[in-house]
Amino acid sequence: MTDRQKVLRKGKKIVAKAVAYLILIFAALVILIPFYVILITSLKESHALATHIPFIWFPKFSELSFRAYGNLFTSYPVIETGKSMVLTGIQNTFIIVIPNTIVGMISSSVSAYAFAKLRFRWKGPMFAALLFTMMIPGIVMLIPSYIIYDYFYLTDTYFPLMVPAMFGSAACVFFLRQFFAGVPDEILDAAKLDGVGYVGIYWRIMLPLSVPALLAQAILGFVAGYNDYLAPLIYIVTERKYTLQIALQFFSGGNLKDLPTVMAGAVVAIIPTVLIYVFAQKYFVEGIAVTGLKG
Amino acid sequence: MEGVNRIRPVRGRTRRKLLTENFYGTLLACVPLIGAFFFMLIPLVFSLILSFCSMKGFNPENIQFLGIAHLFDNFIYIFTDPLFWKSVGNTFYAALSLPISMVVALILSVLMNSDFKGRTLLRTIYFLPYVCSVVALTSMWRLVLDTNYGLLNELLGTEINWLSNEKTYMPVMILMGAWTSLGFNVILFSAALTGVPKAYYEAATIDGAGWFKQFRYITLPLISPTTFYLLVIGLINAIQDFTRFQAIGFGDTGPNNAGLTMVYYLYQQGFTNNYTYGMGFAAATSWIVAFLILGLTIANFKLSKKWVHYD
Repeated sequence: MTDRQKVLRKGKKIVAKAVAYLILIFAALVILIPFYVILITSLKESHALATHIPFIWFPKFSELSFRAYGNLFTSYPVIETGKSMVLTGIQNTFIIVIPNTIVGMISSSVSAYAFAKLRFRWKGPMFAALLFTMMIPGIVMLIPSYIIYDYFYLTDTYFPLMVPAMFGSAACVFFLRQFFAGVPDEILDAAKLDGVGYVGIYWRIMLPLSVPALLAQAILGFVAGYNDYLAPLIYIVTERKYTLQIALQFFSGGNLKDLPTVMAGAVVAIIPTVLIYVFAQKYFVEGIAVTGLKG
Repeated sequence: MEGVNRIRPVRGRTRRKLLTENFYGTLLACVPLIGAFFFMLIPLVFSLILSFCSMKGFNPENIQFLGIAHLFDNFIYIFTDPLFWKSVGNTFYAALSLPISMVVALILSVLMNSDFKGRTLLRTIYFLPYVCSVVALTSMWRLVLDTNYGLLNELLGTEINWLSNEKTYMPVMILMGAWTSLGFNVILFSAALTGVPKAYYEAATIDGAGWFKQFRYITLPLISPTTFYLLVIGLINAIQDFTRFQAIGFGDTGPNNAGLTMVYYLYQQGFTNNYTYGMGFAAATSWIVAFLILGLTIANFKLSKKWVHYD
């Protein structure tokens, strides 16, 4: 190979790398720019004539204000209580999602522990049944569930949003079972010899050893619950019971004119999940790769 | 494991131990199954019965069995309803976002794979839309697509009302769908690409294979299980795509029902136009959707034998 050829080859490599960088950065911009646009729009002055805000890439710093956020948290009260609809929505969302995540995790993990480490008679068929539930498309349950809840006066309550989730999910059991199976049997046998019962083994050995796996699933469960739209849309009627997502959708439907406030709402809806994702990315990706489906 | 019991009868302490293990095992394992019984199996059976009944309103006392002679009336009505066929077309049209998202994700993952600096940051960025709620995403896209001050019109120098025109509605929704799911596909493709042994490429380079041949004969076959997984999951989700169409128009089905997907159609039958259609129709439609998903998944698995390579 002559020197000229060597230089040419090196040059080609550099060009290829530069093109790769450009494409990747362009794609990143395509993803990021809509986020940037809602952020700057939410920081614009919010007033009655807000319909005619021209599109500006870089607004002057002096033109930015947090008034839209003030508006969002104060101007739209729930009629019955007079409290801010968005704050009520945030409160309701946490009232629903936090117990759901905790109790659901306990249910899924005890079941995963049994499937991974205990011997019992119907283990095979029970696990097959559980896997089968993962294959039923959720949409088939939508109509009959609504009729059943309505018959028992459970619509417009949090029952349909909470109780089913508290029994744990098949995907979560499946994920945790894989993890629990990796805990060495010797540790469990040693604990048994020391007289620790099955519940004790679960609580004192399995749980502490599987914190990363539990976190991965808890984070996924929390984000799915926080973002849930269809279930509260169908079941919740009264304004003071709205979850955050429903509250935001409700008032952005009625206040389309006041763009900065609507966009402030979108930013508020996004911030918690994005923060969780950015800081707990490792767990998040682990969980998503196995369970795949979004709630 | 179970065999131990059969080969040699166990008595005394060991037997008692096995019994307690049996008891605790069954007790702990069945928690999610109890939930599945009440919140899946019962609704499932009810839904099946309902799809052969007529029911207007929400009171179960109004359920009327269609009778043997008219057993399939709900299904016949749905299959002759032009709106249903429109929703089928819309669903598959919207599903185009899946191949687009997968191809773009594969290209990005391949570009990132070669010891690329900043790939963690890029992957984080690509994945961002996936963690956002449908309400936030549709608000965002309503703004991006706005006629007067939207980003897209600003970039193109046009003044198109994307969401009010039947011809432009679905293309922008496909774009939005691909934009949202890109990160998920990138993460799984990247994971698959790191699993391809470097030695294969080195050997191919020595043999004089160019990058395209390497991609075609090494990369694609070796990541095919992931491609298959993404295709199956993506298609199952695409057939049930609905909430973003409902949310972006606040319950509107788009210009001339351009955004009416199959699940949106059944949602309308059950909740919005209950007194024209009713819950029986909605339940029947949900079974059609379920069987479509089942059929496509089976077809996917059958076809996969031709192109998916497992080691």
